[in-house]
Amino acid sequence: MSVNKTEITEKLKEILLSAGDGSFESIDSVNEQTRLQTDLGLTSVNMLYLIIATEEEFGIRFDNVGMNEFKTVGDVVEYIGERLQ
Amino acid sequence: MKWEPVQCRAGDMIRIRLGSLYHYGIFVSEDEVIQFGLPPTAENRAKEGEPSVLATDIDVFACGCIVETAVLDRSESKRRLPAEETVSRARAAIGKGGYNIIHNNCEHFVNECVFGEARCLQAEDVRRRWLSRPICDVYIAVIPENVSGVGIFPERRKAEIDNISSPEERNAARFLWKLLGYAAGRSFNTDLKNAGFKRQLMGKWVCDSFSFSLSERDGLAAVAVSNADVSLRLGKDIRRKGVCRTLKNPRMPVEVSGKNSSAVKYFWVEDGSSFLMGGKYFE
Repeated sequence: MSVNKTEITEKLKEILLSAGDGSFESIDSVNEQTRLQTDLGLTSVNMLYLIIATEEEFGIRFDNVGMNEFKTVGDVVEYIGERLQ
Repeated sequence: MKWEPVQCRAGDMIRIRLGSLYHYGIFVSEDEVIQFGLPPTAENRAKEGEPSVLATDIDVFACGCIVETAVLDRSESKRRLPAEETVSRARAAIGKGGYNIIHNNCEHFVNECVFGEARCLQAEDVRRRWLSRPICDVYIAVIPENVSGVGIFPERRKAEIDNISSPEERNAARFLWKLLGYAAGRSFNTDLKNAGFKRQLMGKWVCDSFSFSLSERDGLAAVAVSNADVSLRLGKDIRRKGVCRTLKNPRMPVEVSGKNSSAVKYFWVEDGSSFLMGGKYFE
């Protein structure tokens, strides 16, 4: 099954809900421009969770990336999309 | 292993807490703490390029935080390498790069030096939490016309469905099992083709990889998949084709019960993609 950008974003929303303990007011308003730390208030543990959950969900491995390289949801979506190609 | 702010000796594992994560190092002396990358403070992040193994004094390592020392239990003390070897391994690694926040970080480094095994308990704990999280996902879609019987698994169920005499019921059953295949792949990375199924005495189909429940009503199909027992029923008020995604519906026409039902997430499936409904119903 190929995974398109919309599907990746939707899966990331699920992970974000879980990473943030479901505390985000409106996950539906999350889009590619949403900033992970500034808008969603993700802590370093949340970011660790996001990266590990993403590895598990998409079957990819994050190589040579630091947590601070991902500023927005779109940055993560793009990275996943590249790894899945 | 306990972490306590006690006097440390050469070869000890030490750590500081920065926000919600820890930074680790190998203590050699007050003037020599060997660590993989500087403590990830905002200031250090700005000035440090690619992290590498380096030695600093204790003040640079601590950056104003309380330093804790690993107090090993009996079994860990037996397993650990001699302190001299720990120091020697740490010193030999100075200059080494290849940092990776998940797979090769400061905690992997200290465990490699002390136990000869690169591990990161922080990452392992997070991974364990993710894999054991309660899952209860409900997928809802409009039943299309003329659903083919191709790609329905298990084969025995496909044969049963092919023998349903009513065309409407056969069409709905085919779609429900196709939706189940989609849900299994999306929520559990499971291909129904390779999943184990059996039919219980009462006629209910069960899967050995996850629990599921199917329901259809008024042209809509719903599938619940969970890592605990789950039951699903579409209620009377389910709306007809095309309106659900945008409709503000104050009632909950989907009844889900089971151990993980408090973690339920609803997905609208359309054109091969699913859209999370924010944990609420079609709002």
